[in-house]
Amino acid sequence: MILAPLVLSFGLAAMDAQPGPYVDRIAAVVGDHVVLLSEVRARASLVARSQKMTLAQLNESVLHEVAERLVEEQLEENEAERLKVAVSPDEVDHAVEQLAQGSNKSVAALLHEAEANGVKTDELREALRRQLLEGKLLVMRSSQMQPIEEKDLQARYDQLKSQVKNPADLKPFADLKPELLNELLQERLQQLREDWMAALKGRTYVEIRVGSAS
Amino acid sequence: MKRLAAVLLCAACGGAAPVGPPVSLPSAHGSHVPTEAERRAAVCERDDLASLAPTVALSPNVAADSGPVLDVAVLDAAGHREDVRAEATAPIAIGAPFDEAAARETSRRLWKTGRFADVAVESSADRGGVRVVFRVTPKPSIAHVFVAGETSSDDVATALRLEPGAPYDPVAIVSARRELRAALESKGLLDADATVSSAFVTPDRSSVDLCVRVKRGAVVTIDAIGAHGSAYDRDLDAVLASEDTKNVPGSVVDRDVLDRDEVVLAGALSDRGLVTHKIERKLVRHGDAITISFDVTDGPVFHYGKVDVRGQLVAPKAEYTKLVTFKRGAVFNRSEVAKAIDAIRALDTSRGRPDLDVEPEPNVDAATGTVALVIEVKGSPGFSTVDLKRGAGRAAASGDTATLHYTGKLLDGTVFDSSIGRAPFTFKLGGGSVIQGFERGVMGMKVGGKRRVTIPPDLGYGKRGAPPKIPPSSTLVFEIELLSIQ
Repeated sequence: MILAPLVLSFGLAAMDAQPGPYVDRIAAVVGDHVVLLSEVRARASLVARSQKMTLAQLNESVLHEVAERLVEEQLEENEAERLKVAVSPDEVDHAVEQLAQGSNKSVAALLHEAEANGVKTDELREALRRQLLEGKLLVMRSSQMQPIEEKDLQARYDQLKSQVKNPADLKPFADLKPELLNELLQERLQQLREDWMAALKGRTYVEIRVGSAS
Repeated sequence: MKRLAAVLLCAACGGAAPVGPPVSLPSAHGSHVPTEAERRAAVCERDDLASLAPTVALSPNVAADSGPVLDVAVLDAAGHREDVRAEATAPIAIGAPFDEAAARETSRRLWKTGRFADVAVESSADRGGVRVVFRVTPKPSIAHVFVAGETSSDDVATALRLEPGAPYDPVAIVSARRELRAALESKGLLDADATVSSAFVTPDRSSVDLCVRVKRGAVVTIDAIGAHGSAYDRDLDAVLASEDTKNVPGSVVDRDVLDRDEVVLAGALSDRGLVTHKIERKLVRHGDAITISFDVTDGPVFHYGKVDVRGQLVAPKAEYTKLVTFKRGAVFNRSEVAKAIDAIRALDTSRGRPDLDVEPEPNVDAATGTVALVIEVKGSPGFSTVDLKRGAGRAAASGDTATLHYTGKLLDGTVFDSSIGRAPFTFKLGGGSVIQGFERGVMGMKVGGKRRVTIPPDLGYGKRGAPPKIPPSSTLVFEIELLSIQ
């Protein structure tokens, strides 16, 4: 029986003498959860691919942004778990169909194109699930969104008018209203999301160990 | 492809919040040993918590060595074996090829022990196999807790569980600070705040000083509460007066009850046909007083359109329709609908089918000002409820706000979530904010009752599950204890 500890200690000493470079490590802390470097690498690879770059060519601020995005996704998952909010597979199916429709493609063609670009179907579905989840959580907070009133649309129209060279060329207010409404809605949703994220980050310890903020 | 890329990357979805600069070490360099005053100044001038570990490089992107795993060890920087439970490293199977996902899970488990500031995975090839080391860094210890601000700060430091010698745990500090802020706010100290900053004492990051600062401020009390803007302001005020005995003039604000107030008011408005109403809660400060106002926009009054009961009827349809007491053209009333649904459930139960679900499918038509209603009776294979203890009082129904404790398990008994040991969970029945099976399981419970609810995947987290805790296509078993309904 004495042999076993000896063998073990020999093994450990050997490992300690030649510590290999790390395969993975903690890249960010989100309360009780962690984001791992391998996860940052995987997401950053997608970013690099979309920018026709290699992972090594991405600058520090992009890496930091990727890590930050993963942190935010973890915060959202925590919040979804707390509030018992989930996205069903049917909802994801529907989102895939809508994405295909928006791109004037069949679902099969969309998935094929994604695969050709190195995005597996599961990865696409997971990305859509996350977006749907975020949408659901934001809807639950929508009462905190500043409502858009007619005067807001008018003010945006007036602002636009003051910015164009020839105000007479600008479409009438009534024609531009849907566009203005959409623009304002997007802005307020973005603001709502930012406020929400700030609140979540204020309630959770967050530490990002990769990249540097721009 | 642009749309696809936007979905996948969404890198611009969130605003990039600034992250504090790397921790600057106080003057522990050279021969000068900082005085207590210098250390106090160093830590109390900061306003953030020092990172547990320094920044890491993305590269090198080292692939794990191939071959079967020969050994797994958890070692500190000096190579000493850390005493961790075997289950922490259980995901990595000895003899099997190195699996990155298993290594990730092990890293997560090691982090969850709460003992380590950092975990790095190393691998080395050895005799046709791979030796895997999880290199852990123990958390620094708290050297000194400095207190600034008001005299009660010592109590606050205790409340935050900060003691010299204890491990420095910023996760716990943030969580305790949140609890403390909530506790102060519940006492009407709306301006109160407690902040904690930290700084490493030595360059080896083995110990930290903390600085706790407290601001209490005055007690803020309610000077008025009421509904405004509705044709039913007086009725709504009466509802508030009877349902909310906490938020009254002279008292401090109880936000949980205020949240419930909104639900109660929404119910009262929906009972008057105002199904598209809007309620905006406003809290306006005047010095040490606060006015709470529920600003209501009524919208039009809706009437019932066509009403039908259909689906898996287990009694003659006439028996169902006579339980629907409201008629086409009458003013829509949410409580009436809820009563009809409860009555239909009772009918199904009396016919030996308590598993059947009764679901209202309203169709609000703003153009005609009507709400057409189909009450669908349908079966859910795999869904079942067993009352372990019957409660008392009225049965929980759609529109109620339920407060409960729950424990969720997989079929193999693995607990994936539980509210036990945390604050009870509160949600609105019929609000669609929880998985369908959970909501359905709570329906019909009475306060004090305990129920075991078995939920098939299609009423739970579906084919995909909710990794890592809930595997794909999982049947879930919840044990639920209903504490209150409002």
